[in-house]
Formats: sequence, C-alpha cells, structure tokens
Amino acid sequence: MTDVLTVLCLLFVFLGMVPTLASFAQFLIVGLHGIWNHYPQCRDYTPRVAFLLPAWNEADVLGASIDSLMSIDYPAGAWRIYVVDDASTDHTPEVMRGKMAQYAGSVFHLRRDKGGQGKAHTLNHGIKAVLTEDWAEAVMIMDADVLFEPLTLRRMTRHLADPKIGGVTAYVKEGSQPSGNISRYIAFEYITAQAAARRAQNLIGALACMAGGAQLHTRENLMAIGGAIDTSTLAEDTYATFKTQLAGKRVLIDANAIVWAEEPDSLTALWKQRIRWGRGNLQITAAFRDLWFRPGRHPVLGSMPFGILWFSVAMMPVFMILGSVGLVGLYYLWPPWAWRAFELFWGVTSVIYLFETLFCFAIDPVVARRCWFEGLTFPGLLSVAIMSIAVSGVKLAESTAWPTLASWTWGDVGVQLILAWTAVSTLAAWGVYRVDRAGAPKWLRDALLVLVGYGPLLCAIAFGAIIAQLRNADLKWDKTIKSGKARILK
Amino acid sequence: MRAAETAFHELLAKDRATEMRLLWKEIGVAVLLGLLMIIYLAFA
Repeated sequence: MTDVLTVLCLLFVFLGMVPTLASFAQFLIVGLHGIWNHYPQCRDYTPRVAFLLPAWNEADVLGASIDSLMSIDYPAGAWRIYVVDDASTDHTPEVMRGKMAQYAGSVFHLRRDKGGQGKAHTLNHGIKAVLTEDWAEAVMIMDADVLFEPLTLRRMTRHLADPKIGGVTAYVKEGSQPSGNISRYIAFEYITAQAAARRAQNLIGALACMAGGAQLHTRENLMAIGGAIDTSTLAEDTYATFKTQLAGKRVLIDANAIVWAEEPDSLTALWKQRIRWGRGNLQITAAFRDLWFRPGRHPVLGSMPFGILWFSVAMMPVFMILGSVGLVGLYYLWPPWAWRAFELFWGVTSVIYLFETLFCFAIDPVVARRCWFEGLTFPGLLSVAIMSIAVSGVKLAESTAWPTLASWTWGDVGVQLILAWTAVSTLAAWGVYRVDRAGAPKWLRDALLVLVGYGPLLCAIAFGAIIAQLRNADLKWDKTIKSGKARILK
Repeated sequence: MRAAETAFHELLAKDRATEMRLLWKEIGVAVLLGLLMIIYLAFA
C-alpha cells in the first residue's frame, strides 16, 4: 500500500511540474520562429478593413482610439471605423458626432437601443451591419481603448494574402501612463503570454486565442464561422479563434504588429477581468470537449501537445495542488524521496524561471526594462527563496527522519509549508487580494504581492474561476473600466 | 506603386530580421544559462 501511495505521490509531483514544463517547451521553440514563419507567404495586400469598436461608456478613451486609427499608414479610403455603441449613458454620442464630422465617410456610429448584454452581442450588432454591405474585405475586432501603431494594420493584412489564413492577431502591449505596480506585472506577463507563447503556437500550427483587442478576420472567414461571434461564453475571442481553425483556416500572430492597451491597475479590477477570462476558458473547455486529445477532430488543436498546453493553463491550480500534495505526501511516506523530489521540482523551476526571465528581456527589451523589477519578482520573492534553498542543497530537516505526531515541532510546520508552497502561495495570493479589498494601503498590497508573487495570483484567480464555474455563478459581463491612460510608448 | 512595394519589402525584411535575431538571442541565453549550470555543478 505504501509503495502504491509513494508512486502516486511521485506522479503528483510530476503533474505539479506540468504547467512549468509546458511553458518552458513553448519558450524553447520561440527562436525557431526566426526560421519557420509565415513571412515568405506574405504579399503587399491591403484589403478594405472595417474596424469594429464595441463601446459602452467609453467616451473618455474613444477619441484617442479613433485619432490613433485615423493616423495609421494604410492606403487612403481603405479603412473605416465603426463604433458599436452599446447604449452608452455617458457622452459617447457627442464624442461620436464630433469624430464623424472630423473624419466624414470614415467613422460611423452604430448605436444599440438596448445594451448591457456584453461585448459579443455588441460586436454582433456591428458585424451584421458591416456584412450587410459588401464594402469590407476584412474586419478588425478590437477594444475601444486599443491604440494602433501606424504600421500595425499593414503588418497584419499582409498575411491575409495567403488564402489559408482566416485571422491574424497582434501583440497587445500594456501602455498605461503613468503605470502602476499591477499594470507593470501585466506588461511583463504579456511578453510571456503573447510575444513568446503565441510565436511558439504559430510554430505548432494553431493559436489558443487571437487577442480580443486586435483580431483581424477575412470577410470570408467571418461568414464561414456563422457571420457572428458566439454569445454563450465569456471568451468570445477564444471561441472565434477555435471556430476559425475548426473551419479549416489557420490563424496566427504577427508579434511585430503592435497595439497598446490600458490594463487594470488594481487587484479588484484584475481579479474581475481574469475571473471572466478563466471562466471563459473553462466554458471553451466544455464547449469543445469532443476536441481534446483527439487529433482526428483537428490535427493540432486535438493533438496531445496542444491539449497539455491548454489544460496546463485552464486547470493550473489543480496541477499546483497536486504538486503540493505529492511533496507533502512523500514527506510522510518516504522523507528522503521528498527531498529529492523537492530539489528536482524547485531546481527545474529555478532553471526555467531564469531562462524565461532572461529571454523575456531579449524578446522585448523595451517593455522588460520598464518593468524589470516585476519581471524578476513575477513568481514572488518567497518562491525565489525556495528555489534558492532547493539549488543550494540546504536540508530543511533530517532527510531520514520520519515525522511522527509524538515528535511534532513548529519546524515541521515550516517544512511542510515550504513543501506545499505551490498550493500555499495560491492561498496566500488570494489573501493578498482580500487584504486589498479590505482597504489595506497600497504600499502594503504591493509589498505583499512582491513577496507572494504575481504568478501565484494568476493561479489563485484561475482557482476562483473554477469555483465560480462549479457553483454555476451568474455569467456577468464585468467590463474592465478604462480611463484613457494608454499611450503608444517608444 | 513602386514606392509602396519597396516599403512593403523593407518592412518585411526588417521583421524577418527581428525574428532571426530572436533565435540568436535565445541561443545566447541558453549558452549563458548552460555556463551558469556548469559553474554551479562544478562547485556543488
């Protein structure tokens, strides 16, 4: 029995490493994008593009977005902006009247009579209007606050010259000015999750998600996926990405095509946004349940590597908890193995942490320099300390001593907290969120977040999303409030 | 027309060079980390 449990614990420890290993596997192949990419298939192709900006009370950011879009480098008259106003109650109509007069014939205001149903419904109102006319050859789905660099659209449309491509996304960078602690963590996160991971997914041959902030579809593709965006999930961008690929078209990211967005700078706003994303991912997991690990359904989306990548993100907390259970279990079953497994677990994690952090500085040096501290403390200082313990070879307890209830000490508690840190840090990150919500001063929140880490915070949010989904909590579209802080940074 | 085509090819060449540079940067990071690990193992 003990042998079986020991093997089970070792298996759990391995499973606990899966998200880290999956992320590392993506990072390892990023460089190969220099050799294998879609650029040889690109042509000087500039189709007529309809930009769809869903807006609900976005008057503060709309003007800057429209001005940025109207100053892009693209053939005159080949792009139009459709602001789909979700029955805003602020001064959006006045802003739009001004912009339509300023850019007559290029900017349009589509207003819904009844709003509040979420982004997908709003987008569908715009898509329907755009597809009714035959002017648009491609449709750019975006957020109202997103700012386009002058050459971003050209960089995206050149891929559409290849008829195999159904959609292209861009690298969304965090551009809040002034930036805060949370928004700088997000800026660094986007290097890993977009500039690195999505390049790797280009190589694998399928994207998990075309960013909702800049999602360019061919007209043909939008028609092929039903001429509308799915409204049944909270992850309409991911759903459209999957539908496109399942309809036989490829999607890709051009990471040199850059857009800038304002991301949350408070834990409450971040928590709300990411719970929505997390629940959306779980809904996608359920909606495409016949796809996972079945290459017959789709050669890439249904492949084993893609399935592992997907589940290692959607179910990350489960892997983290299993890792902790495995290490603590080994501590009771066979302590010497616990230490071996601990050193292996955190030793491998520390190498991957160093590799990914250093490589992020190489992938996007400008952003990484701006948020170097957040990059270094991404996993949390306590996790970095545990990595140091693992690689230093320091033994936290006698490796051959079996803990018993009779010989219980506070030291044992400390040791077990360290062994269970992947799960404990998730709980601690939730604690930081609660402390922030309770009105703790910003310096305390920032200090605690640096200690516990942004990575564990994301894991805690993913756990919250799982709980919300299991409880079948209300599917509310909690919109992230934007204040117009985003800038195109150089 | 010709100017637009030239601009297209210049932009494409620039972006392809950026991607290629990433490969060299990744090799550089891997070598650096490899050296660090060798030093670590030598003293471990």
